[in-house]
Amino acid sequence: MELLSLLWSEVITKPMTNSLLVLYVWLGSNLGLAIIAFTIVVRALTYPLVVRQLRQTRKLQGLQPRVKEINEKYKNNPQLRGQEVMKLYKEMGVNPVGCLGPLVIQMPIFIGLFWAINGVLPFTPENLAGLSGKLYSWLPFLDTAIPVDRNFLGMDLALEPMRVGSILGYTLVALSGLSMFVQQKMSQVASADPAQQSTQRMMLFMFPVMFGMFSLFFPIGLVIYWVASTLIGIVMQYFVTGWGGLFPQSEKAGSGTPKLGPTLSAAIPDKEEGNGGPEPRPVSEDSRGGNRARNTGARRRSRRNRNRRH
Amino acid sequence: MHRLNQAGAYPGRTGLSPALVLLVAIVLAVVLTGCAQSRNAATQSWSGVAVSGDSTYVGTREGRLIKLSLDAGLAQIAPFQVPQPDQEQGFPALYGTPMVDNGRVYAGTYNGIVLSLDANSFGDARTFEIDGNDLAKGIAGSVVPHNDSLVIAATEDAGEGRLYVLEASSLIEKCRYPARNEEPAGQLWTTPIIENGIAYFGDLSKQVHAVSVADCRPVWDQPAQLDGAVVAPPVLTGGYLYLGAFDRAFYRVSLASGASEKLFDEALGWFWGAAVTDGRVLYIPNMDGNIYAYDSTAGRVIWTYPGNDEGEPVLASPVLSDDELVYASDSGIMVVLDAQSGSRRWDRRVGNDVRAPLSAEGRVVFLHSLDETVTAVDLDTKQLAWERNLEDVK
Repeated sequence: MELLSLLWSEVITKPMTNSLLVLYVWLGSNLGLAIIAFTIVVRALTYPLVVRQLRQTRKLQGLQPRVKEINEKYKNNPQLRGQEVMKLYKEMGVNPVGCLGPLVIQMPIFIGLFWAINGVLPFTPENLAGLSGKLYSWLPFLDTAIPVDRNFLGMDLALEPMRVGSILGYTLVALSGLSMFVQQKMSQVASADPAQQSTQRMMLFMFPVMFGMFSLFFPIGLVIYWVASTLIGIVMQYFVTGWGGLFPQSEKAGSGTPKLGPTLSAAIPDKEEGNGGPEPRPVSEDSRGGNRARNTGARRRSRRNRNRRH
Repeated sequence: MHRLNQAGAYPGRTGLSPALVLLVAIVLAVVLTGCAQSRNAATQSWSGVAVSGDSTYVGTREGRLIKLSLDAGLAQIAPFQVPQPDQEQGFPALYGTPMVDNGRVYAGTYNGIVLSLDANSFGDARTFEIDGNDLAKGIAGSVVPHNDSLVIAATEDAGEGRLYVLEASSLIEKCRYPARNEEPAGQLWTTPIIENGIAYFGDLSKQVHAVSVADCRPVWDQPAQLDGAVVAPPVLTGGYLYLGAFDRAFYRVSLASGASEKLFDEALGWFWGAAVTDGRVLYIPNMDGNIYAYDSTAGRVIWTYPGNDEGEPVLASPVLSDDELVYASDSGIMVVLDAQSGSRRWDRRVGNDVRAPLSAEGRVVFLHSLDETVTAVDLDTKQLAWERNLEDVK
């Protein structure tokens, strides 16, 4: 347990605390701006993971016609049906629980930042004394930055919105839930399976409501991180997969298949298409998405070849 | 009921199962609830041990004031529990060492209450509550008696502090610095030192102030400016204040003009505890684990005792007894040094981390460790005089 605590401190808390303070010093002793800058840095560092995850979501979407076909084919044999679906996922390099990835990646960062904010904005002498041990001795300029100015836009960043009671604080809470809802909605894959639809509905509302509620009791600095992180996530997601499930009507209005994000073609190299495995083979009337995916891949290859020629 | 496959999905279904989503939500809720719990609770406090007559007085993190006999550490009367009117107002931990003067014992609590009790009976309790934000106000130093006044460095809000001067007998406010209508000083987590009717103290906004106790007017044209925040109470000798700051530098400030001068900056940690002096040499604890001996006449560090073997920060102010310097650190080890040379004479374990300033009566040293144990050690016999866990005192 002690080893785990030491590991957590050395790998998560200390680097986060020092990074946050370095940004604080660089950004004119403004912790609110430092938290936003920190969020951007974290999002940039986790970008490859997130893009990979978004691609998985796209693939999952593209596989729906084939999954439906398998469901039909083996409707009387759930065991075999499951095996076939999993085989398909494996062939295509898709992990159905992968959509929880971004949340899982965010959690250690979120909790680490919670402790970092607690550390740099101490309420008690023992917390302040504890901060001394968290600062890297080779960054002596951080010592002169203590104590950290806790105010941002009239709010104490260490206090919870419930205690601050400001309109801006509550707006941030609402924004944390709303932005998470939008991101969840964008991530959702259209499914004909009623059970899957129910799960998606659950995720769509449960996590945003849960985070919105908890935001009331977190330091405002952390709520700022969450809102900024989710908004950046929405932008990233838009550029990779488009609006996804957020505006399904507009997607149907086009060609009846989901639209790709503006930079998807640039973001996904060919080898990511099924991890080198066989392309999904459309077999039913619902298979236009698969055709579309293949056509998109073809267009992408064509464009890349053109670039090579130049 | 279908069993989940390895990927957490129901066989034959695409994506996640509701059970998995629910499980993730529950785990998240537990983690987030743990994080969202109250974070401003005083989990420790480090009141030193005050000695007066045949008694010792010490405060605890639960806001209890305890009186023990000097010779055996036995409870002389029932502890006094500081009232806690409202949980939201913070926690009544006692960080500062109680002060005894004219038959009264004085203490300040971390929820901003100044307390005055009859030193014999703990009766006739009087209180004064400082102004400020209930969530942030507090007293982290000692209440200093001076003539018929009490001088208190208090925090009113995050980043804001004021010096209060009260009438000792009635606890009626005489004045405060800065005045009500003026910008407050920085956050104050220190104990002022008083000399010739002037209170000297540093704040977390890197300033050192000199204020007349009589009328709360500043003595210098402007506060002395340092490069680091100040928690350490200053030490006064030879017309100068000596104190360390969070920028790892040790300073002296002219009493006359308030001009500050950096004396040395070779420490690797913050200066938290007050230095002690024999009038010429200052013995300075640092959070890098070292004790620095600075000769104020020669103007240089004459020795450094490396706390590397303990490797723990020293927050507790050391104590001088004859030619010995006694200090303790977060290692829970009390170390006795030759004050002249800085060489180690002997040491002994005294329990948990020691952050409270050490005190001495004759050749007996008193230490209060974070596990709420008071230890009295006889420097002559090198033996434990007595030991008392304050949680056992009812």
